[in-house]
Amino acid sequence: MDLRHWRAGHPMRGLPCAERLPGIQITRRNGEGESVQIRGLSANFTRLEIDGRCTSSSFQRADPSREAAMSIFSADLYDTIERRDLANERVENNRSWGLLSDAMLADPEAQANLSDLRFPRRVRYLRQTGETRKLNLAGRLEVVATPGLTLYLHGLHTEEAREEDRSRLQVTFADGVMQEGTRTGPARPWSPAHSSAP
Amino acid sequence: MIENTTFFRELDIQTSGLTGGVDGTVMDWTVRSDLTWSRSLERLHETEAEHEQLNADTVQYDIVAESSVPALFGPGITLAPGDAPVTSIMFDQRLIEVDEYALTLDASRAMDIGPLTQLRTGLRGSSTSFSRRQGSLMELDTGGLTFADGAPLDLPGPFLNGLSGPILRDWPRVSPRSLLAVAPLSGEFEFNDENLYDVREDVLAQPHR
Repeated sequence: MDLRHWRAGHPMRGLPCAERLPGIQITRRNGEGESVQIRGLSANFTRLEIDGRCTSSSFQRADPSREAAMSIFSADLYDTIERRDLANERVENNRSWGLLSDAMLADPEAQANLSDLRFPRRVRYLRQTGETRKLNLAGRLEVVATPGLTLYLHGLHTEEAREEDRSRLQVTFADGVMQEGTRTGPARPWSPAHSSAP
Repeated sequence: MIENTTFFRELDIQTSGLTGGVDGTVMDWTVRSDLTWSRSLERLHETEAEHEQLNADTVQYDIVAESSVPALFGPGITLAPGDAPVTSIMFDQRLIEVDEYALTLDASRAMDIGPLTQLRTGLRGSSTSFSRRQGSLMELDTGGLTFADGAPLDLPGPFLNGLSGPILRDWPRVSPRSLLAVAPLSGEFEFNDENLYDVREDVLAQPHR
């Protein structure tokens, strides 16, 4: 899919803003798309290639993953995003298989059940500000060894530095009443869930 | 349970790679092959200060028509900064490294042996290593430190654009780094929890396309 066809109507700040591509799932940070994976599939099924060279970006993850971090690439450097599906991927109505969550929300009965839920379990307010700096370098060297044979060398280096300040207020309830808690010990285990929470 | 937390995060991400290849015809064979090396690195530093109220039923909520998030009210969240002790202060660090080598080779040549007109073959191989290190240094005894001891942060707007209630204090709007400067953590940082591992994945396959 050619980004130029829809860039004018949808200004982008990075490649992950390709969220309007069908079947693509995006997570955001600092107001900008961060990581990309095929919707409904494990991140291990994602493989990201920039100009034919595979990249191995995996962050904010507890385990090895191929959830592609595309926010480090500036949108201005690239013209085209091509989504290639596996040969045996099941596609229905031009949408990738795995949109189970969307189907659930479209169910009127499910929505009615959600609207009846009057006891919040955890209420969280969040304010955040941040700054992101990026550097992208790419180069390609080609040598035509013989009229029918080309040798090439392609290099790519990207950096992204972020700073984020967050202020968060969180209250935990049980059946509509503020839940009491207990301090568990001198050292709270550092967990990825703790880290990735907004 | 009320948790008022202020974070500062620094995240550096780098990815570098080099691909060398050949594309063309060699001795009647059409050949396309490349070898890729790539390396990605993430460094995360996080400083966090928290005021935690564990056993006080001091907050209620209202379902607000204009918002999907309930509005909170009550004395538990309207403390003056000087009345909100820092119950924990923490420094986290995480380091993730991914290294990958990948090889592709596709070759084909025309044939004229009965019904056979073309011979195609190829190879895919990769070796990926994933390394993760993380650790945390935490202090629960902050020596009477309160949120009034920290420098203010410049964060935009009120919580929930004002729908969160009329009198929410801004005292969580404090830099955790400034609190850490007042009450430095004791002990040496080390990658000290159990979620450390190295994974190496080797793949060798025939092309399927």
